[in-house]
Amino acid sequence: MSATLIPVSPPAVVLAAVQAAVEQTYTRFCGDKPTVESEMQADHDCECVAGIISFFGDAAISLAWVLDAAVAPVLAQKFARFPIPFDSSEMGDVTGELVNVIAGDVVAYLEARKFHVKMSLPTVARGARLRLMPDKGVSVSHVNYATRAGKFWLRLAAQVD
Amino acid sequence: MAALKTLIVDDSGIMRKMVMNTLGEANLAEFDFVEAEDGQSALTKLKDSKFDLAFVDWNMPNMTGIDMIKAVRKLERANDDDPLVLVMITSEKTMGKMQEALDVARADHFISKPFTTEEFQVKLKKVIEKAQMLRMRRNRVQVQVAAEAEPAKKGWGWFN
Repeated sequence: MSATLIPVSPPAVVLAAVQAAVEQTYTRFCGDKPTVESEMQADHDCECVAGIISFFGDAAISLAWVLDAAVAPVLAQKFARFPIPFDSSEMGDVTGELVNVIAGDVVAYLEARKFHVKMSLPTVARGARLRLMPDKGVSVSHVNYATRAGKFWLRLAAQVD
Repeated sequence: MAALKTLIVDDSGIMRKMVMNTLGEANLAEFDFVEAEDGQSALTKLKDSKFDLAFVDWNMPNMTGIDMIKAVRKLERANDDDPLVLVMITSEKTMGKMQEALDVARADHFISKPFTTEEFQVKLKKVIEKAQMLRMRRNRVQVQVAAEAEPAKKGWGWFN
């Protein structure tokens, strides 16, 4: 007998952990504090790169951190300390590392609040008008940010069994 | 002091480059770098050649860094070898993971990503001194073994 999947919103503690980790990491490297523009799914009509990583344990959650083509090279250069063009193979590599660092912060933040998750290896997608499609029954939350360099978005998809 | 032969183990080429650049900037020693992209490939390189130091990521495909460190320590115990100085560099940040790396797997040090040159200068000073000391000891032993082998050869000469 197969388990029934019940869609749930990502737990508030996970969303708070992800937002704190992303905002702190961005500010640490780029200097300015990103501002939340909206929490609606938006059609991002631009070239972008997404670092995607999953958490499993007390909840099953997928995080995508999507950076537009203006902000990605700025953040990548600040993180790696050498220039990385948006269309280079190294951009995928560094985006994976960035989301991996964020995931480490999220796991530690949640662990301190007795919410136990482990993280997967990261994957990366790059494209124009990138729209990630959730499986049926999966609930998705979005947070859209603006920065001095450009825009980025968070996408959290969650389900429990 | 000769360069420390140093293995950088990470599935990300960018991160290997960042570790090598930061070690160079920290200016704690001279390094001769070799790269490996997972634990399995690192183990093969360690079996083929003698290293002074290794920097190891945790989450990698094929063999994780923690499993690689456990395998290295097991081999050292089996062969009665000097320990390789092993530093874990990872995005894992919980106390549990840190304890697993240091107390269970027996890594020498644990550094969380992202890191800075200043952090490397402070946190790696003793670790690098340990690698240099072990290297000097290994070199002394090699010289001693060679010196002991020389008279033996001469001694056998009497019977030739």
